[in-house]
Amino acid sequence: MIQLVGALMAASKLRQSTILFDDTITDLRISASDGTALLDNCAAISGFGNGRSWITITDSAGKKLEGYIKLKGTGEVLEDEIGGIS
Amino acid sequence: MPVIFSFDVINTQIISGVFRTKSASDAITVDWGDGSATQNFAGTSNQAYSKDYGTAGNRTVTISAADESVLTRFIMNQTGANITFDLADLPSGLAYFTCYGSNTVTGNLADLPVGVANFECGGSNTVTGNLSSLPIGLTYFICRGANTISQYSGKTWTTKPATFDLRSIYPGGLPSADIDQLINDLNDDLAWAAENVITLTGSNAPPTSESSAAIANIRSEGATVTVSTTIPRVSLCKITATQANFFGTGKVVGDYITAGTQTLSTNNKVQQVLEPSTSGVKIVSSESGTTQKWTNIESGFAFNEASYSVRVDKKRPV
Repeated sequence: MIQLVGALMAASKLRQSTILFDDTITDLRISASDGTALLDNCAAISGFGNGRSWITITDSAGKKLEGYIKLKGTGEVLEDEIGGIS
Repeated sequence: MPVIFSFDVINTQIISGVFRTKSASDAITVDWGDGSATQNFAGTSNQAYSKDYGTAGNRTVTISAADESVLTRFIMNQTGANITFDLADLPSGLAYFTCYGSNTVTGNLADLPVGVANFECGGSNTVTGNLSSLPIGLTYFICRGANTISQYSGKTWTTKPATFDLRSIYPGGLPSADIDQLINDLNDDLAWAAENVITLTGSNAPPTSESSAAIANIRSEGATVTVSTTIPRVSLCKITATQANFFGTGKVVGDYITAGTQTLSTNNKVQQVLEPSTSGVKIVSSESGTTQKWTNIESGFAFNEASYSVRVDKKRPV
């Protein structure tokens, strides 16, 4: 029994050590369209861009958005204004 | 003589515009509603009128004639003037209707007189209805203001509305399927030419690929076609123009929004965010991959929430 508890604690510590960030972010900006998937206004996690870090975003209903953080942004780029005439 | 048409003047000092009657011998008599002398107008050319009440106020103008066929044209275009009536009140002989200023005209398109060929309504009108019920001989149609026209269920167009300009406001506006059908019908039934104009913006939904060929053909015939566009779905956009809190989201110019089904227009514009700032990150769908895409978007995930729980792991948990 003691060995089992010890093993569970060790596993828990190992698991915790893989977590780089676990908190709430307000005013998070999300793009989920293919080709421009990105997050912005999230300085707390912008340093984790190495192509391997796994991010999980959970909404108030428990629904998830998941992917790999590739790179830190280098400066906002906006497309030309759209609206009105096509 | 019976009253054939009346309208209310609301907190307004001056109204002006034009009358026409069906002949020089068929007159209308206008009672301006302030106790002053009535005036007669008759003629098939424009009969200009201008009434200055001296002070802003509320009055009721009544127009009398032998019958409802006498008045053929009614224009009220005094800047800032607010007149109000229901479209159903227009006399049955009216062929030409224009109302601008700050009018608060109400009513349903189905109640327009059957002989109306020119319909032009701006101001703060709250006209509603189905475009399919427009009069058969319509050659000119403009409806802007605060109209909430929201439907088109099909029609055989035997007369070309050389100008067709509908700019509704939320929650009005035609859905994409109706826009497609309208454009396809206008293309199938009519030949278009230079100087012709079709404008379907405001809160009208954008057309889909179902009407792309029709739009291309109408344009190839010389007409100018302007339709709404949408934000790419679930892309991040910066709002650059908005009528009033971006379709009820509370967003204003300078705010960001993850696009849902918002329809853009000349009054609601955005710029899509293509690259994140230095406070942001790019997302890819596979480890060390290059495809900028989320690995998983759970069905029903809510975009545009005020905050999210965020967790970052060194590697994807097994």
